Amino acid sequence: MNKPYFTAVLLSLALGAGCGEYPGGAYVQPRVSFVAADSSAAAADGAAGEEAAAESGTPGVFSGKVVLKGDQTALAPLITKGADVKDKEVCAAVDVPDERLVVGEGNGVANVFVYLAKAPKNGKKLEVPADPFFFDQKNCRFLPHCLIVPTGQTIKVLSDDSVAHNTHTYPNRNTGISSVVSAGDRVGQVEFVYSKAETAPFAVTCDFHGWMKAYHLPLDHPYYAVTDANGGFSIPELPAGKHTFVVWHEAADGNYVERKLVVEIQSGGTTELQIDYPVEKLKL
Amino acid sequence: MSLTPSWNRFLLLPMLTAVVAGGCSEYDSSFVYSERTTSLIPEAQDGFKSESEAAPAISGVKQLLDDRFGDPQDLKAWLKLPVEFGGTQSAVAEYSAVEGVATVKFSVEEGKSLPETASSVQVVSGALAGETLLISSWDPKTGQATLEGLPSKEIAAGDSCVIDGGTVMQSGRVLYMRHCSHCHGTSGDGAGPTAQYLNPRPRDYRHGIFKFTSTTDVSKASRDDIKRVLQYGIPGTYMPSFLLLTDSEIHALVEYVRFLSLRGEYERKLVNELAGDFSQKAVATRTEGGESRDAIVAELKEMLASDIVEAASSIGDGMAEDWTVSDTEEAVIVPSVARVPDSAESRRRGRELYLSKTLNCADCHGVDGAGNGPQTIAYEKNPITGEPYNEAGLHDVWDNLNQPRNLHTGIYRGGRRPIDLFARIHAGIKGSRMPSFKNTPHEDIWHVVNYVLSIPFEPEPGATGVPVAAPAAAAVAP
Repeated sequence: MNKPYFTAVLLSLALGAGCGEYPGGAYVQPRVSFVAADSSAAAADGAAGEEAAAESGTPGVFSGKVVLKGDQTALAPLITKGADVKDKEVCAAVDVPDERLVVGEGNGVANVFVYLAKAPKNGKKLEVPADPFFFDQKNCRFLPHCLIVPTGQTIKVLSDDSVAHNTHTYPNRNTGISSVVSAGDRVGQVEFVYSKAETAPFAVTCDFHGWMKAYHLPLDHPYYAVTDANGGFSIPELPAGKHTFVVWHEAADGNYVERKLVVEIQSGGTTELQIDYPVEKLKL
Repeated sequence: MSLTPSWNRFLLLPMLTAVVAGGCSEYDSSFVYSERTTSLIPEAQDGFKSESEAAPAISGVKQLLDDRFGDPQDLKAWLKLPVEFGGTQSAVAEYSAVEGVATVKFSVEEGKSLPETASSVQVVSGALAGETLLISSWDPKTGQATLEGLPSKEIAAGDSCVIDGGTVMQSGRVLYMRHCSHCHGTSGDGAGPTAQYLNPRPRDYRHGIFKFTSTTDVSKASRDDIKRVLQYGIPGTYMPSFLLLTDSEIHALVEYVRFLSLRGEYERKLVNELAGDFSQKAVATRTEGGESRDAIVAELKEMLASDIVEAASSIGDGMAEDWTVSDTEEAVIVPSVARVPDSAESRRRGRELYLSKTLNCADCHGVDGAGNGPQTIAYEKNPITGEPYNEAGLHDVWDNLNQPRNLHTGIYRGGRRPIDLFARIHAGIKGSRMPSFKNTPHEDIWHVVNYVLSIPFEPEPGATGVPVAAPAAAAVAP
């Protein structure tokens, strides 16, 4: 037998033939199997289930206060008046507070999101205001700092500053925007809508002024509140019975003060609750 | 062959081993799961095994993904996605099996036509779902096919099928592995073997975001956008032109890149649903806070069985809509006025706008357009995680440090046609910190375009490069 010839055959076997060119690798023709478009729809229908019949009892109110427990000195302003920052004639015209932690009377914490994780089956429908919500900015500060907005409501972005801003949103389920807001736009040329509810608030920033930050949370039900300057909140017309609330704050480690706060709403009455926020949870 | 006998002795054994023991599996390529997926607790990644008939298995993120996208050897073509997988979607209109001969009549949706030839059909729904049947004769006029042999189960009218399906995907996969994967990676994660040597880094498709598009700020990339990048490359980067590929090859690649992008986006969005409560970090915080791990896992199990199934479906619907709409004319940026003719006056106005407080291009691109504005030396925090970046400057959603374009080079990654620059300003650069200026009057955008296109030829910064306008230009020079 001709040995070189034999070697050549073996070589071609080893390198090429075997299982085709690069067996199973880059150049193999893949199989393609089709998956029906609605493969998961059937299961989803089942999961959604029937709307539960309305429970008896009159709706109640959930109100309370988020209270910081422990010692925490107030945060210094983010920008002090006259500081040498970018666009200082606008951005440092006044003291701009550091809104990561705003504590009011009785150690109440402002800007805490309190909301139902999921729309209750027997709850009232979300009413989407026909009027737009005006999201403003002044002295390089978003107003409001924390916003819960019904899905479907138009948001118009205003600016009371003589410098350019841009509104850059970072939602999970919705499509984010990053759009320049003209200086002194009091009409609201930049407008957008959140079509889907989100599970947690997300950041809104301005790329021109890196310190500017706000939080948005679109929800598809009306059971929510952002705590006021003194940490107070009130959520009316909740169906009586047990509900699970989320208590979210930007400065909490992992962002949650309470992931699942189960509250039983009294029929026709007001259920009061003080939500404790230990300083150990703060991550500033 | 010039191999000597002594060479032979050394080569024989390894070669024999290679032939006999080599097998095929070790060369299999695979899609990798994102780091975000693997940062979830194992139960969220892998789901729950079936414990009894009453308690069927519950899919985790990996299974949900694999069921709809498969792996590189066995790709799944999820018909919900706006990807042209190849083949003709059809439905069974009539089926009969007489004396051992099975005939099927196929129908297609209105406006679509039956293929000229047909050799096989894949059944997608019904009793035979997942099976491929061979066709022995085919009448393209009536859609009547005779099958080879009898199928193992009955086919019913209304079952959906794909005739000769998957050809585009097959070709796209092979071409992608040959031309693209060494930079963009098998999964389209921008982490192929070559990627680490490149700056800028190759695109990681998995956000479903492409930077340079002709579509509006809230739209995805259109097919034409991906095609343009494939054909002409991205100047100033390592992305070359693939103009030598045929139209059908480019088409197959565009569809395969869409497929990988959709896979990545789907994975990302699924993980988004779970990461807040079930990432390893979140679970660690929760257990420290007093919750029991068992209770957390039980909660996860319930969520995977109901909410996530629903979410998986609506994520798919949402992506299908976004990518479909983005491929229509509606999504394309069309200036409301024709390009303002280039003139010294227009360039001067453009420079005025460039420096203005309203547009403030200079904030990033610098007063003289060298890409060195004050924003490039600012230390910033990641807007999603809140963690400070290690380096000063502008970061994109891929966490890459971006250099605002130095406008003196005359190299424009998104294309150098005036309309390309218009689109860059109008829509911004997606995923980056370049925002959309869509509310700026279109005439003004054209002035900026005229100015930007003149910068490489400026005799000195701010001079518009047209001698006639020298006095006017001097007035606005810094």
